[in-house]
Amino acid sequence: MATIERVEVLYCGSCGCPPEYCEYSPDFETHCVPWLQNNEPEVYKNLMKRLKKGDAEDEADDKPEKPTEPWTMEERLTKFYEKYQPDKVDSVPSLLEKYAGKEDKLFVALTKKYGPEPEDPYYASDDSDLEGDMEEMNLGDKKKRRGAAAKKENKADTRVIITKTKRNKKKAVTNVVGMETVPGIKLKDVSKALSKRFAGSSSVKDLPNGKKEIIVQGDHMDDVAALIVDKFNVPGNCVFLDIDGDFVPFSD
Amino acid sequence: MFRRFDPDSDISTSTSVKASVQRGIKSSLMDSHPDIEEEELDYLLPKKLPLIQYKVGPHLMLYCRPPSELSAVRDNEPVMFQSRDGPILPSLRFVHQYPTLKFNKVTVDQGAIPFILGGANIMCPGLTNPGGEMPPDNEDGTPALEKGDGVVIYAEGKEHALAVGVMTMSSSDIRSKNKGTGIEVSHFMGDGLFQTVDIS
Repeated sequence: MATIERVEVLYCGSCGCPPEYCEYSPDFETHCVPWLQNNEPEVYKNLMKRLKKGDAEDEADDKPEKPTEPWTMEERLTKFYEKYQPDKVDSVPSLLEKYAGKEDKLFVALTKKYGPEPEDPYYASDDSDLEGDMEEMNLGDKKKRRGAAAKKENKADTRVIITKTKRNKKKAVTNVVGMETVPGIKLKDVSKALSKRFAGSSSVKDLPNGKKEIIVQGDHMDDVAALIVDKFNVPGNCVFLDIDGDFVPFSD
Repeated sequence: MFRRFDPDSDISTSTSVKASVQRGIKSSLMDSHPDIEEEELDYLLPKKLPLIQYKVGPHLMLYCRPPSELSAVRDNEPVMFQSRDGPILPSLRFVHQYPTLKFNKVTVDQGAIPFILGGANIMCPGLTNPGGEMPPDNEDGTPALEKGDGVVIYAEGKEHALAVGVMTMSSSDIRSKNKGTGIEVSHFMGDGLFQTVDIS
């Protein structure tokens, strides 16, 4: 009978992937690298070698010669006239003298008259570098999003406001605005939970300003806030109660 | 499929697989992966140790092998799974352990890796770009991989497989159309099943 050799595969202790895939992990630098250094120095060395090689190739690809300095005022003006009015190039020095100190105004006037300035390769290359950074950042985002546990995180703009409005003298409704700013929550679910909790009607309504509000029948401001904080893990300081016109954070 | 998989909560019943079912699994594996030898499968899935079948949700079956000298883990180790009547697919850890076992194999280019690790399906250009690779079509003109075939997905320049999936187009269609999803990824490195080393 045939036997097959079973191979013990090394998995990174941090991300759980074979080390060759570690570089795609969101915690590559912070977790995988230290783990590899401590536990598998040999593998780490090889991996780094390969990564560096890849990087070097990448860099070799996108390095056209870059000018080391931006254009001087004179060069700038010359280029401008070369593009739009070649016969005026000779008058550049006199123009510069005339507008000494007010070059900005000159260029504004010129762009108004002829059109956009020719691009300075120095700045242009800077831009492309910037784009490169942006790409890296985007890539970073992508990396962070991978995996089952990764969830969107933007707590900063979470802001839930709970207000109460009177209805029919004796009755009240509680309005919850801003639940959609809480990441990873469906408004329908919240509404369901609320109607279950307060044994009454609860509905999701679109507001004219594009936001959405949940309307709960009855006066339940504090209870709603408590439920939102407990059940949906919204930080207490992001939930505001409208008490006589003041927005008071539910808890700190 | 396994992105949110958690063995503690998602698995319902476990049964030992009948010998006839196990034979069926073997033969269907051999049918869909022609390069796998019967002896290899007989060795890896011996009759004496029947697989254990777990139900995951209503339509997904997870086959595990019981602890033995063959496996390195202490409990039942997931080795295969099948969704509805789809192909029987190996788990990634199983593929990693037996690199000599020749499942149907495709290679994607490097640009696709981060997306696949996030669970994305495989788009045709990832397979047709330089770096991507699919088995060449048969001599009689039929595509090497038909729609619905199970494949193991490797990446350009990497040793280990990073996902398994089901073809949603035949390989010749992928070459000619070169647009849209070519392989639906069922199980990828980093998902719930991959993190499940054993089930107790």
